Amino acid sequence: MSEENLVTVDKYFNFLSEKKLMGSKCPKCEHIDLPPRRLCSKCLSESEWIELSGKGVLKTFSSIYVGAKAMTQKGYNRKKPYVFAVCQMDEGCSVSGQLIGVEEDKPKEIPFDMPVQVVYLKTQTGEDKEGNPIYRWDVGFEPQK
Amino acid sequence: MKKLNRRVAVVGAAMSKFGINYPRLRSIDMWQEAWINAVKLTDKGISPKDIDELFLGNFTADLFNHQGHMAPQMADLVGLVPKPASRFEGACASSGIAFRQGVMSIASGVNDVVCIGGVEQMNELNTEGVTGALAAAADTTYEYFAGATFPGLYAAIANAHFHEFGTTPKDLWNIAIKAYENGHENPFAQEQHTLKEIMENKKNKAIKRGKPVPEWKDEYDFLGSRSNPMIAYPLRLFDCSLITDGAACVFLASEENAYKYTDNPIWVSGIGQGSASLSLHDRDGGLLTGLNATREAARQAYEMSGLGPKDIQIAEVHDCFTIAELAALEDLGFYEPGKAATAINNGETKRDGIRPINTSGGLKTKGHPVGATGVGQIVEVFKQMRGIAERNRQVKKDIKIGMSHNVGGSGATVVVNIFTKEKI
Ligand SMILES: [Zn+2]
Repeated sequence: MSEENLVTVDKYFNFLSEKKLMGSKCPKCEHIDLPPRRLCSKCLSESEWIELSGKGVLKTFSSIYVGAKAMTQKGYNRKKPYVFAVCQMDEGCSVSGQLIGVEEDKPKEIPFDMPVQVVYLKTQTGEDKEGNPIYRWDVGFEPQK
Repeated sequence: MKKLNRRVAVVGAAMSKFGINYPRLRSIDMWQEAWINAVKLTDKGISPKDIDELFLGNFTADLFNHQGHMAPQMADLVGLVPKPASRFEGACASSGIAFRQGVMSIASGVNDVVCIGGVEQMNELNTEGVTGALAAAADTTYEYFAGATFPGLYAAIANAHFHEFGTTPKDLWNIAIKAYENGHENPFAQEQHTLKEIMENKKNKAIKRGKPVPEWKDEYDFLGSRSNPMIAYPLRLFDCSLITDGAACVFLASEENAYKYTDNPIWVSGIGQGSASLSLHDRDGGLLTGLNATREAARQAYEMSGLGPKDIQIAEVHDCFTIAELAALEDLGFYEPGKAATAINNGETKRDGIRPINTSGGLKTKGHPVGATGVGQIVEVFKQMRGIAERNRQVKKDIKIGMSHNVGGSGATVVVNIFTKEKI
């Protein structure tokens, strides 16, 4: 595997910043992992990058009223909860992400197995020398339109 | 799973008072208190010169107190230097792992007598700081920025359980109500009020302040009210365990040595440890209503002991959240998945039930000093099996077989132990 094609965490996040959802696919058993893994989670063969459809379903979630600092800094609080979700993609792999576009404070009305699509969400993690914000990009979800 | 090469016994076990001890008492003080209490509960006494090694559980004094390298520090305080002293980390299962390593060190023949410790001083940080430190036990790379918190991860498990089995908040509240009843009987517990007393106190406070006095029909009414705020749907404040400072200490000896310390050793007849992906989303088979690592650890412990779920008479299970106790009862095989709630509602897990669970009050009211929790659970099993549990907490029947179950994080590390009065 050339350095250029190596499945690494940094490249995964760089793809997300380009609004591309990249998983890893095993050339031997065709299993797909998301988040991507260099070694296939089923047979430990060396995986290759594959672009995913970005479509899946909601497997479980929680509306969080006392949030992680990364979320409270975005203005979420007891009165304005956010939704942490685990979604299974159409390719079979599952990943965590914030679920937006739902009524966060009415969790009983958010349906399990609801079709979702990936959105790309940014969080400020610091500032560069010139005082410009530095962001990281993460997978999020919204209901399929 | 192979047997232990030689028998290992618990010959003494005790804990410090759990609670908000900082700054009055720090890790150094609580550890010495736990040691003194454990020596007292070792029938014929024990001396540092008898002990070959210290296995210490601590999750993250690094983040809570800016203190790493804790094992020699704790060994020195109780006269164990220059003997080997090591710290084990597996989040909230840290001292559970330390215990298992200590058992295996005796079984292997390397050691004859060892000390297992657990210590954590959490209240040096405020709630936000504690939440941030505990978040290090989840997957920082892929979960944290998705908004995961510990209550949030267990809430997602609870929500999946509700969806799949029709479990309700009331089912979880029954677990909390029992925890307060048991904590009330434990002089070492952080929270010793019953829920009714807590409700009375809230009413009295309102009267004193001239505020409207809340009217609650019963505990359920209170637990469903605004006085029990939502933390992460469907989990509310009273579904969560406590932020606790505390230490616990256990002495183990080989069969050849055990009777030097007591005529009534409690045998470690089965040990098991399981692992799973750090992230909830990567769990094998997509299991979201329970913990694979509990099932694996239990399988090992049952196989080693030749016992099964039906043989277990009492258990201390890892109830960092009410849903965690419910899931544990199913994952340990006491009940089929989806069947524990009915059994709990029928009182089967109360002190006078068919299989009392968390007689200590559990992590919910005894408290959850994360790195000390695994050994703290063993202390309760030891006391119940010896018939020396304080106040009105002692189970009335003779307990011959007990279990402890200790979870790290959202279930990536789990340790299960089976204890017996008889040699197996
Ligand atoms: Zn493969």
